[in-house]
Amino acid sequence: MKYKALIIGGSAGSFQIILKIISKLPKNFHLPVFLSLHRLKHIRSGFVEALSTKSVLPIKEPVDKELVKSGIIYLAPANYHMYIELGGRIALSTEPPVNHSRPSIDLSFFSAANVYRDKLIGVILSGANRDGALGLRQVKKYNGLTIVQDPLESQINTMPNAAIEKTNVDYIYKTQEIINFLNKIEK
Amino acid sequence: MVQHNLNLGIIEQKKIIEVLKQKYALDYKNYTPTAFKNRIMAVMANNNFNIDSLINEIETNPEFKLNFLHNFQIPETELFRDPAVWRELTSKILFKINKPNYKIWIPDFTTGDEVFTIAIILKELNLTDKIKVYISSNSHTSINEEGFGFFSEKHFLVDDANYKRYKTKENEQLNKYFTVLNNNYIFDKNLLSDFNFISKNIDEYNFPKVDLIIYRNKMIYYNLPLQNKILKLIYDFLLPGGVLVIGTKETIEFNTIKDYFKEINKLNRIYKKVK
Repeated sequence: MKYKALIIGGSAGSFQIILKIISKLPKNFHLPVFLSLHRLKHIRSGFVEALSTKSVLPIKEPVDKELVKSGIIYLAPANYHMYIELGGRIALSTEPPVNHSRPSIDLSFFSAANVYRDKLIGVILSGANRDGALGLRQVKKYNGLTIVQDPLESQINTMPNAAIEKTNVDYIYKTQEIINFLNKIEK
Repeated sequence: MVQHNLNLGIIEQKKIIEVLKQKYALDYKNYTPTAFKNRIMAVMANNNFNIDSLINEIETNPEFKLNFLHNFQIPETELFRDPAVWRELTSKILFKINKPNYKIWIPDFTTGDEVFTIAIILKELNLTDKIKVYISSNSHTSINEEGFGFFSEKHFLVDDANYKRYKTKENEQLNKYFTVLNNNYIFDKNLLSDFNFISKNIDEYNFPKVDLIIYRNKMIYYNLPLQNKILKLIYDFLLPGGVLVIGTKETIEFNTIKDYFKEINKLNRIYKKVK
């Protein structure tokens, strides 16, 4: 297997895209999926339930030091940063927000790139700030695969454009192409 | 934002851990690696250091230790963070105290958000002079330090929103516990006057056993062996039937001591010592 993990960052305008992607993943998808999404911190529950109704794979907010398993979607909990640690555990953090964000997409991507190196797929979706651009660059630096949602399709294209500006990304894809790609890597 | 210095690899991290131990007697061997890396980068960014100048400073300047600790430490995030936790703690535990000499311990506070939260809760329950509260922190943080209890307006507005959720009333105002000066919201430290401040790390505590320990979002920075050690300490310092509150996304289910606590509220991570 070429890839070992998938990480997706999204902000404003990404919710419907995330729903589409996780509803179209193959049932036997063999990678762990990390979602680092900007969200309202006071809505503590409900978000994961909303995603669950459409998701093919089990989805959960991890607890600190939880072991990463394949075929599970891990959603960064509200008001925590989410890191992936060497040794395959998830660590949470209440360090200060980065780019006004906690969870920070950059910090999640940095830690995932450090662990999975060239076996990581990083995806940046719609969003209104520049979080994720440095993180995606780090994925590329370790020869991971980088995908950005087509800014022409993105509801808010600041985040995709920032990512494209910082990195010579591998693919600029529309939602359906992202879905096709993720289904193809299974075969 | 923190500049991500891409050269801070495992070898450099190990070197820094080694000199911190040698020169400052600080042991970060069991710290969660990513958070350690981020904190070191924060220290470097705030001092305009690279790795070599940081190591050199630690090796040659004992007085830099305070600066290091100050920049390394992780601020607490909000007063009344997770309002439901405090509501549960108030209604199910503190409101029902039926023994004299009830004691609370809040270890390893940094910016004091959780200490201030408890101070307000006890004040409103009229328990301030009936309960003994121990608050402890390592030597670089003191409740008398300049700037302690100062919050930005942005911070205060989040606190105020949390407080309204805690009270489940929109018209409850948190500002009665603050004075405003030059855009700073300053917490009324008179509310802390009966608290016992102890300048010690959690593993150096040697005070009476307590009924309630609030230790939220601290162990997320420890690996499992260190968590096990700290939880054993916490267990030992709790009186029989004592209560432990940890962060809403923490668990003790991966720890050796898990069978010695019973979960009394899963969502809010409130545990009771049972053996």
